[in-house]
Formats: sequence, structure tokens, C-alpha cells
Amino acid sequence: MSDPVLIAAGAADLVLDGVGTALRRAGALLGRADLAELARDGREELRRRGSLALRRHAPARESHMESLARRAASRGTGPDDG
Amino acid sequence: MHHTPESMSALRLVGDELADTTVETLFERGEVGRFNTLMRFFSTAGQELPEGLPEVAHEYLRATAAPPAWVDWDEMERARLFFIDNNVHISTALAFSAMPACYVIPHVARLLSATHGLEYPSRRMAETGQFTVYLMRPDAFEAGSRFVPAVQKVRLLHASIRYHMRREGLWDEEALGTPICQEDMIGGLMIFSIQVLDALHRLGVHMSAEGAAAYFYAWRVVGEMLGITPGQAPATLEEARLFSDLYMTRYMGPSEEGARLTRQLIDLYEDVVPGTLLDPVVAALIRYLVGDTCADWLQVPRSVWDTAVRTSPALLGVLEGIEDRSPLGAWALDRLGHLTTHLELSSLTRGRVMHYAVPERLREEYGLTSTASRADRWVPPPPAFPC
Repeated sequence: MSDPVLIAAGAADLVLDGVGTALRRAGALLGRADLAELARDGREELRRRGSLALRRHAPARESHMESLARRAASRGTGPDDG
Repeated sequence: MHHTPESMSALRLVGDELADTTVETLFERGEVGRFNTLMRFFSTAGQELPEGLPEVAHEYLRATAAPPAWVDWDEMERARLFFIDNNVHISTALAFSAMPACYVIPHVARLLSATHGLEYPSRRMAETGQFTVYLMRPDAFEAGSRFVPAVQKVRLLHASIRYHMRREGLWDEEALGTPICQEDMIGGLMIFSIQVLDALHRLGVHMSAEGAAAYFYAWRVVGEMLGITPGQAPATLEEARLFSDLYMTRYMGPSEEGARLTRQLIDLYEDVVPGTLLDPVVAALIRYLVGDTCADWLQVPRSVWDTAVRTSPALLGVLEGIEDRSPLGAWALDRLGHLTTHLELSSLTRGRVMHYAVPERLREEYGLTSTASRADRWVPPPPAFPC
């Protein structure tokens, strides 16, 4: 899945997780020298969060119709096969 | 009612006696033309019947004017609220899942192909959409409602299809039983009720158990008004799962007619989608909802969008997560849903049929809001046949 999608989903998830925590982190950031590295870490964290959030909300892989169709196909169709 | 393959086979021999007798009598007496002309002026419940209407039609309209006595009106209110909350998703499920599901039953596809008026999916889609909108109006079952006359007319339409299919030898009655038999009517009811809920679930829509049950209930009421024998239709979502799974696996398969109707349906939706860039999304969404086997039977074209569309339910799931937790997010998504539905349906019906303004009346003028807990999420009953 593309990075922007994952990052957007991660950001949404982060918002849901509580803006307060993020703000506290942002406050602590101001006094740090390794900002670039932190930004990279932050991006990576968002990407991972996004991936997890999408997986958490994704429905079952196979549609119910698909399992019925496979069953019908394997048994032949017609009223007598039911 | 708990059904078995045997009890379902028995339902293939039964039509709809009341409507069939009415239509046969009208044809025998040469009164069909007069009836059709006069019925154009009969569109609201409680309206005085047009003068000169044949007596047999009078009797039919009197006998079918009221909903079943067992209707729980509180449950019907819950169904309307469910419809308002999910209008855009329900339209999507009807268009991209329920319509193709009808085409994957070869004898249903053949019947739809053979009946001239239903050849064009746009018309059937518009009729189904109109029907659902009438059903969900606050006054659906009161004087002045357009819903009850619509049901009465659809029921006679089915009876006239039975009549013509038989007379013109278009139906293999020995192999397939009665055209639009009780089993097919209940099967159709399953496609528009539990299978729409299945599609909503697959789209990642969050539903309350109460809302899903109410939506199913409303269709059960409609089914009986459309001529399903009282007591024969599944009464709960669990019974519906069993009937729906048995029905689909008994019949589903490829057919020329099914593929042709699907092609027409995709062309129609592609006309609705602005531009051509997103056209393949239509086929991809159908494929995602009905699965690869059905999509191949219906010859739904493949494209690179097939993979992209799989992401949309997950994104929708994230969005609905926001809706569940934030009133402001819920409001914004609700407005977005309203706009999308309005665009989707008004394009589809090209302004001929209706505007989707009616459910708004229920919410704004009647001051009703959904009170169901969003935490009580509905998931479809387990498959009747464990994989």
C-alpha cells in the first residue's frame, strides 16, 4: 500500500488515540538537537500505525458470495444438487 | 420458518394466487388496456379508485390495501432511521451487489432478459430505488402514501409476467416450476435484505445489531405485501442466512443473459461516473463485492483498480472510527454521505424519478435521531455451510 495512504491512516489513528499525548511530545521536541532523525522516526511510526489501523478495520478477505459460489461450482448447480 | 432443500423445492410450484387470478380475469375479459390506463391515475393510498375500474381490480386493490396485521410500527421506525443513517451505503450495496446477485441466478437472468420492460437495468434500478424511497417515507403506510399503490402494482406486474411467460412458452415449467415462484420471491427478498447487509459489512460500514434487524424486518413486511405466503419467509437474520445460502448455492452459476445484463449495468454506471478515468472502478467494486468466481461468471472485466478498491473498505473503516468517536466527524461524514447519495441517485435516474430529500424530512421535521449504541456492532450470521 502506498505511503501517503498509510501515513494518513496512521495520522487519523493517532488523532483517535489522543491528541494530548502528541502535544506533550511536541512540547518536549523543542529542546532537542536530533530533530531530523526524530522526524524520520515519526514518519515511520505513522506508517506502521497506518498499516495496523487499516488491517484492524479491513473486513474478511473473501466475500461471502465468493465462498457460496465456490461451493456451488464444486457441486454443480441445479435444484437437485442442493 | 426453517427451510430445507425439500421445503424450498415445494415453493417452486407456488405463485401468487390472488394476483394471478386478478390478472387472468383481466386478460380473459379483455379489460387490461382499460385497467392500465385507469391505474395511471391511481398512485396514492386512500385515494378514491378511478371510475370504470374493472370489478376484479377493485376487489384486488381492496384486499391488498393494508400492510400485514403483525407489523410492529416501532420496528419500522427503527428501519427508517437505519436507512437515513446508511443511505449512501445502501444505495451502493443495491447497485453494485444486489443487482449483480440477481444476474448470477441463471433462470432469474433469463426471466429478466425475456421481459422487455426490465431489459434495461437503469429502469429496474430506478424502480427499485424509487420503491425503497417510498418505503422509507414517514407516511409510507398512511393515506396519501405512494408506497402501498406501488407495491400493489409491482405484485400485479409479477403476476402478468407469470401469465405471459407461460402463455408464450418462454419458461420451462417442468424444470423450473412456476415463473417468479415463492422460492424466487423469497430469494429476491434475501438479495435485497440480508445480502445488502452482507455487502455493507464488506464495505466496512459499522451497523448496530438493532439497525440491521430492523432493516431486515422492513423488507420482510414488504415481502408479504408483494405476495410471499405468510409464514414462509425467514423471520430472523439467522433463518435468512440459511435460506439465502441454500438458495444461492442451489442455483448460482454463469449464463449468457447474466453476463449481458451485467455488461449493460456496468455501462450504465460508467455513464454516471464523471469522465472515463474512474470507469474501471465500477467493475472493480462489483468484483470486490460479489467475489471473483461470480464476477468471472458475469464476465466483469478485470483491471488494476481491483487491488485499489480493496483498500476502500479499510479506509472507510478508519473514517467510521472517527464517526463513532467524534460528533463533529459524524456530522461531516453525514453531510458527505448525503451529498454523495444525492449525486449518485439523481445521476442514475437522470432526474426522472425522485429526489432523495424525503428521509431528511423525517430527521429534520420530526426531530428524530438514531439512539442505537454505535458500540453494538452488527456482523453477519455465520455461513450456513462452514468452509
